[in-house]
Amino acid sequence: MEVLSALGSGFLVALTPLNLAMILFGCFTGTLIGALPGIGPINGVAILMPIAYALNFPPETALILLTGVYYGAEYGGRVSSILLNVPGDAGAVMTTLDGNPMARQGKAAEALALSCWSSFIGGTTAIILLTLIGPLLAKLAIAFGPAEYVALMVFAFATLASMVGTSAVKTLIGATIGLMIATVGVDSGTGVNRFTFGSPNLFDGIDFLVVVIGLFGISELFTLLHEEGGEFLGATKLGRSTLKMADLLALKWTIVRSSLVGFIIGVLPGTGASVASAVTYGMEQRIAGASGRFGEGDPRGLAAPEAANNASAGGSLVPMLTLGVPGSGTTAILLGVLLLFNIQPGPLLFTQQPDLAWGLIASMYIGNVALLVINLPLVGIFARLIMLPKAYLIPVIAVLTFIGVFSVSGSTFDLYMMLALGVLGFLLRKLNVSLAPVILGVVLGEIFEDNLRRALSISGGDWKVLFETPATILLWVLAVLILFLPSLLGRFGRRKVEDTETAAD
Amino acid sequence: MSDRVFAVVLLLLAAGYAWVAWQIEVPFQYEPLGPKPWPLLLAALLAVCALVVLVRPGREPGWPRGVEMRRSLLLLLLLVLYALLFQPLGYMITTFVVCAGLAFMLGAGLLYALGFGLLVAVPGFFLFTDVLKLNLPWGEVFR
Repeated sequence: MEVLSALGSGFLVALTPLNLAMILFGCFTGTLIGALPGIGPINGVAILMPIAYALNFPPETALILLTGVYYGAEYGGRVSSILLNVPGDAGAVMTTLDGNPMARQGKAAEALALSCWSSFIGGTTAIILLTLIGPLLAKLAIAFGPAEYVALMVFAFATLASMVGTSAVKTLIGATIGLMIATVGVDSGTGVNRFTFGSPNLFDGIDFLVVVIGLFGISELFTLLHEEGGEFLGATKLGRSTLKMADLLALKWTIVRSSLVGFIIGVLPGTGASVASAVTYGMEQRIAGASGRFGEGDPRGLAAPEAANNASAGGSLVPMLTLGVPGSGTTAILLGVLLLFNIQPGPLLFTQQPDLAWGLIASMYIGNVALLVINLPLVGIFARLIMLPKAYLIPVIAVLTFIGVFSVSGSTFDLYMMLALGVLGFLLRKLNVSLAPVILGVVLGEIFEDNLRRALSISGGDWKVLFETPATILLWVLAVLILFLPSLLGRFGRRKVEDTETAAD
Repeated sequence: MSDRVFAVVLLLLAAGYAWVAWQIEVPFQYEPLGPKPWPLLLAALLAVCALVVLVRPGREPGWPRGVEMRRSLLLLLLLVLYALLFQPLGYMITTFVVCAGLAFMLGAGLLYALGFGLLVAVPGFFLFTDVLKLNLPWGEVFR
């Protein structure tokens, strides 16, 4: 009951005209960004983040807008996957496998409608679970001290290393680079300068905004320039096929299973849509056995990853809102937005900032319905918009990144820093180091170090404090277990993931 | 090969980072750990990871070459100039040149590219500054 009344007050926040407008705007823009080939949720949120910040919105409005872009983009990713056979983002890679064959068999409209409903069910399931589990987890986590947080961070990075990207070592390298970026600036504990090289521009550290825009916005420009497929891509015609209710009902267990698994993977720190969709695709393939025509347009192969990647978006908000540890690369950026507003994410968020936490959750119920309503009839428009030529897309993104950084910091130094980080990001992507761990490192770096130092201050320098309470021991055990999980998951289509780029999501 | 070069660069980075961290002087400190060990720990972690990559490099990525390489360098050059001139010349002039230039380079027709650049530069400026109230440079040359 407590949950229902809290959710009710959340709806009052989400239904104010400004917030409602931002939900709709975020969902629409997100779908559009997701539908553009190559630009995924993380890039979309990264490019729009500073603008949302510079507009002087209250924090809940900015967060509602950016979260709308996030799950809108998870929705939109399917459009180019199905019609162009080019995934709109990393989380939509698995959607191409059966989505595009369906389209080529003349069932494009049916495939789009099916993926839309799967996305809706996946997304809604995740929000319901978030509503139920979030406050409980937050209550548990209130008892967390510095030692527990250290163990939690180790667990988060262990999850990342074992599940994201093509190689565990490279994921760790990415995370370490992120943690190193976070050490630049004045040390909060002692006031000593670290890695500033005497430059006043670096005393406050490298601005989170600049890191995000550089790594994701600028590097995206170079990646778009290099993507295969050329300027013009051949889109499959929509056709006139329709989705029958009976076909959707036949898939109900596939969708339910994939939603649940997607949600759980989303909750795990650091792993998002690309892992969720790959795991559920493999899972459905196994369950279907010989009856499956996976890869040739099996509707189950389309419904599973779409339900999963939307469910994972909801799931990844759970650790962000309750623990202050992001569940995916994109939620790492959202977490950074909270920090920009001087809001300390963590277990107290639900009690200290109920308008923000519950307003955000309520906005996602509305957003999911809005996405369904936007997507079913307007899919034809999105199908045409994905043909936007790169010749115009690349300059627009370039201008948005400059506006984003300059309008917030007003400094030319930050523009150079952004470009340097962009080149770094592009090189890392080319070398198969995914960028999500880097951004997680940047966001978590200070919290990680602070908690470690605080834990050791409490114990007077005794490292045993990190392994003493039941919660810390549990987290350490989980961290070790998860490092061995890939060998277990090897049976579930991990190979498929390795062929494609499990980049940031 | 690329991975090996990458690993060596990372090793150098780890070494340089550790060296700078070693120089940190702490005048007074009330806690057991202080600001030095954490960076040193990170440097060690990076060095170990780099050694693993050095011993077991992955497959070679497809680096841009030929036209692609020239295009990326041109893009980078344009972006650096954009950053350099953004404040002195202002948003409108620089954005016009960058948008029109990039669009033309990427295959848009000349007139389309110019029109597009003009659209983003002038109405774009007033949209961002007047409607959205964002802070963008007019340009020092206009003062």
